[in-house]
Amino acid sequence: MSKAPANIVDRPLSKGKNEINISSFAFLFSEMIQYCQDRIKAGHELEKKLSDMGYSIGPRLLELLCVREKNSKRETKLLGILSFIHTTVWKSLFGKPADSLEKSTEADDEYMISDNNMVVNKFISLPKHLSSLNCAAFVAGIIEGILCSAEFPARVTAHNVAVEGKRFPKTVILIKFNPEVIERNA
Amino acid sequence: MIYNIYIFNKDGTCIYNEDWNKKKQSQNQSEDQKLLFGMLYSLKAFITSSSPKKIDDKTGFHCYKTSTYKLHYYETLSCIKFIIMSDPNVPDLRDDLKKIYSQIFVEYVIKNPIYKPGTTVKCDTFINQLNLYLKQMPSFSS
Amino acid sequence: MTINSIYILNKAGTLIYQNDFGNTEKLSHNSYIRLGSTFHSLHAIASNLSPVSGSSSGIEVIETEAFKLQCFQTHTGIKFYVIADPNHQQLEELLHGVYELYTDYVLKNPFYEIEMQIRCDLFDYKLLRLLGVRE
Repeated sequence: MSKAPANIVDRPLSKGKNEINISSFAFLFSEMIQYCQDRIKAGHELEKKLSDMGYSIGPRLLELLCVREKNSKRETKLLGILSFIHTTVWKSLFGKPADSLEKSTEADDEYMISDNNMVVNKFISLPKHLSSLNCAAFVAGIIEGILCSAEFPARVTAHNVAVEGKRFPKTVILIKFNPEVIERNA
Repeated sequence: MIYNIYIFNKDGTCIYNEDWNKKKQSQNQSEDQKLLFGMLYSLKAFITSSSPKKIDDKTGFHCYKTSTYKLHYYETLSCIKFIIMSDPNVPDLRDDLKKIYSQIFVEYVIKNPIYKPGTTVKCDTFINQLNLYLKQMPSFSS
Repeated sequence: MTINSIYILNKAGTLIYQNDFGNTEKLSHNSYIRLGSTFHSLHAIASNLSPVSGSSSGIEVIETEAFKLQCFQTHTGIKFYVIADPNHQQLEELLHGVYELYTDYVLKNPFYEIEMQIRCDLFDYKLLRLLGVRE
């Protein structure tokens, strides 16, 4: 066993442990949702609450990934930051890249990242009166936090989209950039 | 290992009860008998309504098992109920219960002119024959 | 081998889940609740009637000519019981599987209130998959 250098700044940056137990996460996330539920008046506020919780994680995660990524540079292009989220961010959060990244056919400023098996929703069954809710609003909040702190202000929301032949819908993260971002990129 | 035998007449009165290999001293024998009969009564009603198929009221129920004992059940067409409690690993005893009924109970109790049907069984020959029969069974004390 | 019904009782003996499979005849919701609490009391009395000192588990198996009932009680007092073909041999494993699904898809669901009726789509779906029932 090699002895670690005494001074912490002399040690190489740790890669970080990139796996946690799914059950611990599920229980923590379940408690977060119940905590939010006790503090809202109407159903749709739940998504907002979850999104806000995620939002504060975004800037910290961006910083951390920039430090850990080899030859990382500041993303200035719209597609650059989107593929960074689709690949790097998704890998660090869920251990795999997202299933797809598409540009909306209806609006120029909208992009969609979809995931067929969202980890945060693995154990969640929605009650009837909340069937349009998607608890991945928390993940959407993280993405929004990252985009805003990387100077790509946008609104990010999570949606359930039915897939043909599948019993349960997939999760689509919808990213709607502010007009100035689209202008700048044009 | 066989723990005890109960015989109930059609009105639910216990007409015979004997214990062997006793591990627990019962506080109140007649209370236990009533509890057992009541339990079996609701168990049979439960079985009839839970069953996915039509089930015969008398021969439908075979046995139940817990971690400490197994209850074997046999009911005659005349509604006399024979019950044996054994340890959980004893195989099905319904054939033995049937034999106890047809070869011992009918022979030494029903055919006994002094016995009044429906009353407690006190015939010595029946008790002797029953003990002889049970004690020769391989599962009696093993 | 047919599986006819699965019941889950909470520790007070209240029915929190019931489902029939195959072409099992359906009863009214109230009859299921009544059957569930009857089983809960039979289970308790059977453990009291034990001829052996030391605690008895209560009913684990009931054998009848038409079906077999297997019950599994967790350390927290929840009872799972299944009604199946009299010759079915793997009921214990099956109940463990149901327990596992319960801990995953019911207990980890933030919208499930503990001890209450189970209404979780994912649990229903996984249960059918476990039983190999086609929808």
